[in-house]
Amino acid sequence: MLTRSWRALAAVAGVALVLAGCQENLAGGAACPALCPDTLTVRDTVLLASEALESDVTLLGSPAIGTEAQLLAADYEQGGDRLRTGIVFRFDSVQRAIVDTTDDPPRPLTSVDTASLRINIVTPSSGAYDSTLVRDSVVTFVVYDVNADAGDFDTAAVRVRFGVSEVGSLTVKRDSLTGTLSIPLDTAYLGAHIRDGERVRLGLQVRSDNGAQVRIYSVEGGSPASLQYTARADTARLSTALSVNTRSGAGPAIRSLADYTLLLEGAGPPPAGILAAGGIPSSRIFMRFDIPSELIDSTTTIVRANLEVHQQGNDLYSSEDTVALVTRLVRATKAITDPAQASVLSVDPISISTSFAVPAVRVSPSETRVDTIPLAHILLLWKTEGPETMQRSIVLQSSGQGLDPRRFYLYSSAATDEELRPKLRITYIPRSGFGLP
Amino acid sequence: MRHSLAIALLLPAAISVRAAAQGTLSTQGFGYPPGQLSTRATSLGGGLGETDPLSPINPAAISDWVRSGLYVQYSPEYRSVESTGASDHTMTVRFPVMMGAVTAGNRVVIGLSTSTLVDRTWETSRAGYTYSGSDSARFEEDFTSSGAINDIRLGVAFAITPSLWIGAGGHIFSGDDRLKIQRISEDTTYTPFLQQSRLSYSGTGVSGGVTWRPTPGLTLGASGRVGGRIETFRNDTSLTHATVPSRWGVGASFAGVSGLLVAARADWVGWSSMGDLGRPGLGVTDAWDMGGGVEVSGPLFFGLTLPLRAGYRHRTLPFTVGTAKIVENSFTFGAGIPISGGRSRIDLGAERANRGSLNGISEKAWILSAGFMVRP
Repeated sequence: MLTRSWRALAAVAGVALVLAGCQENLAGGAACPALCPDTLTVRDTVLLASEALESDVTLLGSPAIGTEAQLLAADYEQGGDRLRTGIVFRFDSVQRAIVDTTDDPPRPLTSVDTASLRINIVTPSSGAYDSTLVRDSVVTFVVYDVNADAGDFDTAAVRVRFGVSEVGSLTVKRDSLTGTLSIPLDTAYLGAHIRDGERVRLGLQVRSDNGAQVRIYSVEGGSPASLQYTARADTARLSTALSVNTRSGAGPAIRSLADYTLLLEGAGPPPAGILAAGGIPSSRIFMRFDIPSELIDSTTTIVRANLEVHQQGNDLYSSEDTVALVTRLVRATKAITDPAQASVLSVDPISISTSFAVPAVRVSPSETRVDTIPLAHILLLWKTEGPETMQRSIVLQSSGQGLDPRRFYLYSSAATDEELRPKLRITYIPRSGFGLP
Repeated sequence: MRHSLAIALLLPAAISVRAAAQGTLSTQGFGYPPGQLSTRATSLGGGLGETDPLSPINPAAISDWVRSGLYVQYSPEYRSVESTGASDHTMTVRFPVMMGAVTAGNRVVIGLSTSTLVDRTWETSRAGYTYSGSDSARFEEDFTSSGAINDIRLGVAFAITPSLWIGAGGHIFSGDDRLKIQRISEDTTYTPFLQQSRLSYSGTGVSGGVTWRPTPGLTLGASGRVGGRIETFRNDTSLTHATVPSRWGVGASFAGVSGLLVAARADWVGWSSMGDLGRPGLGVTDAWDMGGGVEVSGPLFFGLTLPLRAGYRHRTLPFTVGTAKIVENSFTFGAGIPISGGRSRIDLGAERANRGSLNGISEKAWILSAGFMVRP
């Protein structure tokens, strides 16, 4: 009897386990919307500049001179506007003597046999320089002595030195614009500077009949230019190469100024009352938001937040080619109130997480249109971090800043026509009660 | 947990794990009431509820445990919802009743049980469009609710005479509801929306009942429950409060003819007292639950006589769709397998529930059930 009972138990338990093993399947929805309550209420609101922005300003000369990763040597005309830039390479400290291993005093260099400026060419994304960048089959690099008795930021004194005292040149075929180029320098010039204890500051320009623009790596780009020379002290011979530098005995050096791009001829600064991003020298737009706390610091969830900015067509250097208006996130606390300082701490949001990526707006700056910048993911981050930990600011910059003379012009919160001022169009969902308390 | 009976047996409470999508007729409001009936009682259309020791309804009925033991019940529901041009077929798992009893002499039996009062577990998936100005963006939304209000009862049955037992029970109503809404848009300018919440319930009640065998084979039972205060909490914050629904019921079973048992029951629950527990406008109604069935000796199964059961049950579900009441009519079937000389038993049951049609939406379900009673 007992055996029979347990056989029965085993059989039934098997059936039960089969039932238990069935995959649960809960998802339904066929009866929606008749039975499913619309538990989520989606609402829209448009925050005007006066309601959403604490400040919006143009930061002229931002990023700061010398911080560019690539340097631009340009001489061309586009859209009827001319652009001419030079590059300054500073060799504030050079080797002026031969120091051997004996106890003899250093022997000063007296003459230079060979000298050259070695620059590292940035290969365009297309793979080579073509006629859109260098319009002739050859391009000439010309080097000037641009040493000026002026302060580090007195670029005007340096600018006037371009074209005055040529100390080297090199003509290169367009196809050869790749890798490292060595531009021969006047050995007498370099020798005199070495003997006299003077610093060496070289200015580089390109020349081409129909226009050219060549990009060169900077210190910040990781492949700086260098000065290479062979010199003599009596019978001894020295061969050396040294990178751009700002070392001197005069005081603390600003390392970023070891090389920089200098505008020699081009558009002036952007007009007042407009927000400008891009150009040479570049500018950026700083926007600090003051979003109502009942939206961002509450149980409400913002699911979309589009910043709408009105772009004023800027015909300078007009071209149909697009440039990207790029959004950067300011990673500074609320304590940093100066926009220029805060902007230095801006990063590409994607560096925090790919989920915070803000797609760039690709458009020609000459167009008049409304640009829409999706900021919902950024607002989510701001909500998470809180207003004290991370100030609610962004920086708008041109993808061609420092390399492309075109500038985005955007209407600011002070625009006369209120319709043209920035707006923040927000879609949000108040906390759901789930149909229960 | 939901797919493993072995693990389920270890659970301390009869947790109602999952239920159907909320877009159904039966899971409105605070959810679907499984009925607090054992597999055997369910198979008899609920008719045995007042006199069944395995159904935690009448505390006096605990007396029929006779020996100390344990009972666990597993009841998956296969639900079909038909709508115009669409249908859902869902499978939900429940463990609606667990119980244990100990005897103290011949006159006292103590029972501890946990059973699902209402089950609010479902998942609704749908798609739609979000309109913002002149824009529209398609979204997919997934709304899930998982949880239940459980009735934990400590009951005592006392024999006044060998044929007259009275019982009393103390009830704690507890449980929670884990809620999640997730909405994802194809438009990448929208961030994914996710909101989660957890509600807890806490309430009390007392019950009392009587069973009487006036003649051999006839058993009468009557019981009632008086609800105390029940509250909802989010974290430690009390949100709402109401009264646990009171209930009253009577039933009878007759086994005076060899190989035949007939049972019937009528039960009334004052569900409307829960109205204040939800948002204003929650549709809830008092409800009758009536049913009955027969049990006959069936064929031999591995040398043992199988009792076969059938029944019919008619009841109103507590939560309405708007003002429309949802009525459930069920045909029930089942069998029992005695084990160890009848000390233990496995009950198997099936229930075909028809929940009617409303606004072009109809709902039917198969609820299978397996109850395991062990009395060493």
